[in-house]
Formats: sequence, structure tokens, C-alpha cells
Amino acid sequence: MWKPLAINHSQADGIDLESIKSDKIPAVVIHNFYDKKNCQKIVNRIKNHSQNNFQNGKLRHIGPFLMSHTTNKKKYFEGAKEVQRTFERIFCGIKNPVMQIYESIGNMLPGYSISLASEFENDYSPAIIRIHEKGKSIPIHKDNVRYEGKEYALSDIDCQLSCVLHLQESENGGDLVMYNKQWRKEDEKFRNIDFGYSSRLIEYSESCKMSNFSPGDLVIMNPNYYHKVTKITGNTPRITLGMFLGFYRKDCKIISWA
Amino acid sequence: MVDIIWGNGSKVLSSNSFVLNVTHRKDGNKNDYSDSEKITMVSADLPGLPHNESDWNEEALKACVIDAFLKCEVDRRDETGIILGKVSHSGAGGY
Repeated sequence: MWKPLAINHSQADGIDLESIKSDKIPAVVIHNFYDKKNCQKIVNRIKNHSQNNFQNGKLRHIGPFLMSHTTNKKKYFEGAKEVQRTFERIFCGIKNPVMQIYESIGNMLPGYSISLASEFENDYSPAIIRIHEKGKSIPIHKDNVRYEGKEYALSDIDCQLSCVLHLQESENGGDLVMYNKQWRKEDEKFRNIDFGYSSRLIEYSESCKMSNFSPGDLVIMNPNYYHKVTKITGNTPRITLGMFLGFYRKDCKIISWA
Repeated sequence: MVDIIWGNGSKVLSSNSFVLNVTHRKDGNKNDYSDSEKITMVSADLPGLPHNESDWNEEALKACVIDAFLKCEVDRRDETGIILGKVSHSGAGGY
């Protein structure tokens, strides 16, 4: 049976990230990775960051997402610079969750360096905070910067992992479903018009549904495996902080971006 | 509103033209489109393709369009039947 490795924060150092890069397990879920009280503080600050937009359900994310700027690097790097200032305010006086993820990954792979990706003195965006309101779902998709981010220097990484820190959960829905099938370029004929892929692509693939996340839980997964998020049906928005890790095996180097 | 077709790129014909295997057509398109259309790009928004049209070449176009899922906003069809349009790729993601 294909199921995630669920552990507590104290066990995180022993994680074998190779098991996520391959198809041995769909993901690692580190429960209580980040302090729940700090999650609440961050959520409160997000609400204050753009109170009107948040209450009207207009605020969807904080920070640029590279995949939305595949041919507009200038705009992406401008947004990345701006969001660094926003994150300084949101994480002021509390442990920066991005730094905590760096420390934890560094402990898992002691021979590797880890840092924010940069290109010609432009820093990439360190993370993206996503606010998913009731009714929102994310269709079957993959994330692969080697394919879609080819205008960016980091598209030459050897392997990509995704880290998602859950800051607030909805009462119902918003489950992560992963399929034991990796994206291949030939799959592009199954693309949907706007975003994602036809469910025909994964109809015979083993799947794994991950539910009941709590604030502070960190999910690490290989985003080249097809995945989706089920519809959020509770009134409370689902809020996550997401970032990617890119691995350079030869240089024992990890870079991060969003 | 312009007509829009989507599909996967296949054979590259020149530095700015290729064959699109059409899989989707916008509801409300004014014209009909076959399952295989020759496209000449009047503009493009494709990751990896030089932004300056004078730098386009067949090899770069092959790397960007073959098998890729593409959107073509149709400008017009010329007298030989080739579609002229804006070609783009969308790949935003993230859970």
C-alpha cells in the first residue's frame, strides 16, 4: 500500500529524502513541525496584511509564484523583492518558518548546503502563502521547474521537492491526493485548457489521500507526481506556506524558491 | 472576441511555424478548425523561446513546441490556409 510516512518533528532528522524522490512513499508528513501558536499569529497577520481583501475573499496568495511568470522574469523578481519585505512583517518576532524548514532539511542532509535561489543578484521568492476559500479545489497537476521554468537559471536542477506548511485548516475538504504516476512530456496531450490534467491520465494509478492536517504540519513531496487538492467545503479558509527545494547532487547543494 | 484553439505542437515547419494537433476549441469560435492546423506565429509567449522574434530559429522552436500544450489566439487564416496567431503556453501550478 502506497502511504505517506507520518512522523513527529523530533523524528525529522532521520528522514530519507530519497524515498520521496522515488516512488517508495508519496510524501512525508511531519506533524507539529511548526509551533501552532506561531501559525495562528501568522494567520492573524495575514488577515491584517490585507484586511479588506481577506474578508472579501479576494486575497488568494502572498508572494509571486514562478510558474505564473514563466516568461516574465522581471515581474517575478520584482514581486520576489516585495514579498521579502512583507514576510519580514508577517514573521517579525517569531521563528521564520522558511528558516525552520532550511534547518530541518539541513539536518536531514548534513553534507548539503541550503540557501535561497538567486540569479544575477536577484533573489527568488522564498515562499508563497496560499489562501484557499470555500469552494476552491486544485485539479490534478504536477510542478516541474525543469520543464516550465526553462528561462530561469534554476531549471538545471537535478531534482525538485515541494514543502507545504499548513498554517490553517478548513473544517472540511482541502485534502491532498497524490497519484503514483510521474509526469512525462507525452502527458501534455492530457492537459486541460486552463490548468491541470484530465483525470483519464491517472485512472489506473494507485493513489493516496491525505486528510486531517493540523496547523504546523509540514508535507514534503515530489511534485512531479500528479497531485490535487479536493474542494474546500468548510467556511474557514485553508492557508498554507509553500516552497520548492531544488537539488544539485554533484555540488551537494540545495536551493529554494516559490 | 478572437477564436481560440488549443493542442499539442508537432512538426516544426520553419523558425516561426509549426503544426498544431488541435484538441480543444473555444465555445463560440466563429470559424471551424481541423484536428491538425498549420500555425504561423505572429507573436509568442513560450518559455525558452527568445523574446526577440529575430532570434527565433527552428531548433529553439522545436524545443518549445513539440508535444507542448499550446494556446493559439487566431488572428486570421491566410490564402494558403495557414493560421496566423499568437501562441502561448500556460503552466501555472502549485498546491
